Amino acid sequence: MDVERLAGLARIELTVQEKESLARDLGSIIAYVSELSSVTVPDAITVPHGGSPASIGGASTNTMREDRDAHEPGIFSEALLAMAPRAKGGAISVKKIITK
Amino acid sequence: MTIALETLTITDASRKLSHGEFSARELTESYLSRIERENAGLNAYLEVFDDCAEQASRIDERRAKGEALGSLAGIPLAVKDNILIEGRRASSASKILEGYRAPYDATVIRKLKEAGAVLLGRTNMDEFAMGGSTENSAFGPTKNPHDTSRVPGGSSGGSAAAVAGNLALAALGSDTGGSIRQPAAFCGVVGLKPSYGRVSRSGLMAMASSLDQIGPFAKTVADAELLFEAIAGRDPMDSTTLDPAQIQKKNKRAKRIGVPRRFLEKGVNAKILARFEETLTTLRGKGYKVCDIELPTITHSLAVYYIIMPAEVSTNLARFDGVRYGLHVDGDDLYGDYIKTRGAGFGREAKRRIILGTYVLSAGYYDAYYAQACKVRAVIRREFEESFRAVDAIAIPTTPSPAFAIGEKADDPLKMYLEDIFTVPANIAELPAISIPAGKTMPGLPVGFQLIAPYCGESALFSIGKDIDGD
Repeated sequence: MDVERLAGLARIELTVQEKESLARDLGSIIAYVSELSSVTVPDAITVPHGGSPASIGGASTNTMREDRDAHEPGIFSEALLAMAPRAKGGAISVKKIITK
Repeated sequence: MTIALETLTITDASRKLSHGEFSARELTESYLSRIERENAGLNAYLEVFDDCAEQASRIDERRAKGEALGSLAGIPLAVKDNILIEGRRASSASKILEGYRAPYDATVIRKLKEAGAVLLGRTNMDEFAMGGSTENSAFGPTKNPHDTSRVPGGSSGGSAAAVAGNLALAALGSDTGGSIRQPAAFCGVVGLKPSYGRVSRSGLMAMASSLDQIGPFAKTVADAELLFEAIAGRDPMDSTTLDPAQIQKKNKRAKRIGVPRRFLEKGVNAKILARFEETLTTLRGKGYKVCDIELPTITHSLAVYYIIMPAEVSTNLARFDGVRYGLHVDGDDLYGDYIKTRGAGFGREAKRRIILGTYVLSAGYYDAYYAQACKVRAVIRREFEESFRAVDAIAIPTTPSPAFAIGEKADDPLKMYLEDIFTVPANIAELPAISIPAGKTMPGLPVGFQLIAPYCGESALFSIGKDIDGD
């Protein structure tokens, strides 16, 4: 398992020590969960890509609402921006991502 | 005035408050002085709120005016640190949420406030609810009030220890794979994980969204029921919550209990099994019919859980990026900000699960791990559904062993994960489950008896549970 590549995908910087201990731990966890490959699943059971199978609780349908009754624009902005580490001019501020 | 907190229940306290035997303020102050004495040793609370006495006095004033009060008027409660309370800090016991204050109330908090509860403080937990011992907190472990060299369980260990140590009358926790029931068992209190969709998660920091539920800790089944009634219900802010019309009421009293014997054959502490059998004998004596059942795929629940849960964790925790809230560690560019903030802010277990989740969802591995886990999850659900044609509830111990020593499993994640073996099936199948104190092991550590009911069958858990704890 390429821990370094996975950590990059997960946007986490790891120390050399962390990489080593993670490779060991993840190896044993993956070995354990691999027991599922031996389970025979009846053909009738299908799972939509990216989704949990139909729930027994009736939540198998999407819950939609009308696209209306929006709150007044901006009423939460101040409180939410106050929590951002960097904010400027009523917006969250981040480093430039497009360079010439 | 001295109030005997050890034997007090919500039901008792409500009666005594309404009869004027003590005021909400006196009750709250009794808890505050207990917290003052005991919390440094237990580390159950991360913060005790500075306005508890004022919250209680407001209830006393309303009572004096003869106003109609809610079902939890003046009842002092503790809240797990991953549930938002407006204006309060909320950290999920993580460094990555340094300085964060909740901009709104979770729906359960709004309901508790409306019911008149006094919120004492926020309780310690495993970081982002990941763990079974509360050792993964960035703020130090919580101790088990029955033996302070041992863990209280987790991830809601602070809430369990607060109730068991009489630092709160009851508490809220969250349960993704056993995080209410396992600490309840280790600390000798009642813990309920409601059916998926019964309680709104709006304002709960999401860990694994197809599994998470908020639920109560209490000293008796009747108290847990009262708290559950106060927080349950449809919420437009959480579209997975059920319309009450979808919930079928069952009038028939639950009398048949199934035991999946084969599931208990390996790795269960002998004292735990002995207490389990004694509880079944008690139930038989009260007219219950106990029979063996087969749930052949249930043994794979833990493997299913340790694929689906980290997959959901890796996506849910993507929001902690040093941009929106909390900690920010500066890097050379935006990517550098992300990796440095997340590298510094997340603890060991959070990193482990995020990376595990990234792996099982990555191209080439998705079908082998995540898709297969979803299919086996469906098989397990179906087996539960089939078994509930013959029985009204299923009984298994809550944990395979009693509370372990602090540090004992901290370096072996798989060993720690195996602690969840009996609690994850209910989350996988979205079913309600309760842990009820059922005796102790020889050195005096509590043991939990777990009941799992059909979907939305909480009432069966309460009726059988009351026959066990005797209220």
